[in-house]
Amino acid sequence: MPPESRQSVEQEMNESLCHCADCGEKESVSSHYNYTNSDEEPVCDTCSDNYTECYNCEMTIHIDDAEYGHGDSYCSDCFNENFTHCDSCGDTIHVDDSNWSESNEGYVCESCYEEENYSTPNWEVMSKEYVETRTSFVNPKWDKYEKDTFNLIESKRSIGVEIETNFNDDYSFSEIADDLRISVGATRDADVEDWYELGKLRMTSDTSTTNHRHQYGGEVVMNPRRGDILVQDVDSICKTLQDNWGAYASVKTGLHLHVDVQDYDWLHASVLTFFTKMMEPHIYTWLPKSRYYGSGHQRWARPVSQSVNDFYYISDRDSFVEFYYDNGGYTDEKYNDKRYHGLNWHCHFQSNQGVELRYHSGTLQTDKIKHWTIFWTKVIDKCYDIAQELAYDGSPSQFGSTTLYNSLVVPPRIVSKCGRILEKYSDIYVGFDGLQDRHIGKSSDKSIQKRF
Amino acid sequence: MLRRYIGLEKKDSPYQLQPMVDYIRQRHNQAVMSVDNIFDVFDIPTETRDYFMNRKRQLQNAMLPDTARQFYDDVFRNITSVIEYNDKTMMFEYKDIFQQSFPLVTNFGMPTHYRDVNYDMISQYA
Repeated sequence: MPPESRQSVEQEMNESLCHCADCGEKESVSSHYNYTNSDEEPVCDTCSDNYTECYNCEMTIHIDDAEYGHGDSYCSDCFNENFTHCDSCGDTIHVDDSNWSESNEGYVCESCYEEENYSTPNWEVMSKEYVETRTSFVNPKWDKYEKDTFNLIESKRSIGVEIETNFNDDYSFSEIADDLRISVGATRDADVEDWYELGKLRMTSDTSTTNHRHQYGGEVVMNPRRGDILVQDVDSICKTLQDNWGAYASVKTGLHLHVDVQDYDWLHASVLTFFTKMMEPHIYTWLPKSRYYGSGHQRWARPVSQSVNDFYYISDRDSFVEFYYDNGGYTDEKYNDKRYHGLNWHCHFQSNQGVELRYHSGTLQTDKIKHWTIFWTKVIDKCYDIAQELAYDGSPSQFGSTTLYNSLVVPPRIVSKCGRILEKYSDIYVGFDGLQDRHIGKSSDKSIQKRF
Repeated sequence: MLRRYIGLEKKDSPYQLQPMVDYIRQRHNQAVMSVDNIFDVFDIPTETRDYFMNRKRQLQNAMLPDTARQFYDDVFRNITSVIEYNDKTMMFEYKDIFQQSFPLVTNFGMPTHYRDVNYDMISQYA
């Protein structure tokens, strides 16, 4: 073969050989490469180990560029489209399995979500003595007044008051709060420069207090205090709000009491909830009807939602929490829907702010707040005593076994007897709902007439 | 037997059976404490009792009669019994019932929403 021809054949053979795009290795045409790299160029078998395929779009990707989710490899675009990272534990999660977390302000995995949202609250119970003597809140020693007295408010529990109010103008809340602090501080045995610090309150915005008629509103949140100083400070605050800021109460506002119940265990909480349910209709008649019906398409002081039967199974702290959260369970966030009940335990469980009484309408009248506080502190103290009595011979195994509960419910033997009577006389009774198939007409059975 | 268990007075015509059975099965879910008992059990001071009773009257008078009636009907919806807590025995006692909840068989056809309840009874019950 002439040299020209041989050169031509070699060139032809060279051109027909496959070159690995990554390592440059040459391969014969007969065994050409089966793999390509991410640029779709052929690569040898050895180099092909550096590549994988996106599980979603099937595109070839270098293993160094691959993202992994649920054991499969993905290209960046597909991974970002389908996966995210748990903002709490950092695990990779499919977007379909992610949950929005209020506390993390991001998406979290199922397990973190459940841990965060369906955990039971940290319900710590202290002694009654501790509750009645604790100095964590406003007290004579640090707040410069002679002593706590209990002539008006006999209870020694600390009470925080939240006063929702409206204003005629768009005043600065910080200016109002400063004025209120000074008005309270001025009643203390302290120098003028200390008045501001002794106010012990804050002012917060609250959109629930406003609408088109009442455009400006907010809430005064008083630090807890006990006894008569509460009434004295409420008086200073209400007068200052009205005299200096033209504040007024409207249908949009409410008055909330937070009572320290850290000595309450499950039995005490059950007793208080039980009695509240039994007297609740009367409580609504002492308040404007908007507190029962609600305003602005929202009920801010809903009745106790649990039936008497539901109390039966309460047997410990966890079961009380389960009983109380009949809306899907406890969540460690402020805005659980249970907070809108007249008797609100959520703030006690979620943020240790005591039990909240939300029934009362907004008011700036000291007398109303005084009587409301007297009433509820009396109820809460008595319910504690009743629970203590019920547990005198040892804590009952469950609320359903207490004399208190059993005195109210009909014994099972009577209920079953009713069933038997209904069955026996099913052809002669008239349903209260007037259904046709229950119609008896006028029975001529004289024995029935005598029997009933 | 049911009539006696419930404490209904005897009348010329028998009571309808279903309302009596419904009452017995559900009465614990349809009970309310009397106001006097609430004040006594919780040892509410006289001044505070008077305040709440006056407040109730003020609010009632501020409403049109029909509105007030509707409000009370709604608040006491389903209530059929008045109970009182006995602090000595630590038990509730059934003290009174809404007689109107128990139609006679001769009352068949009476609207089910009919409630001729004297709500003063609940508050003035002693």
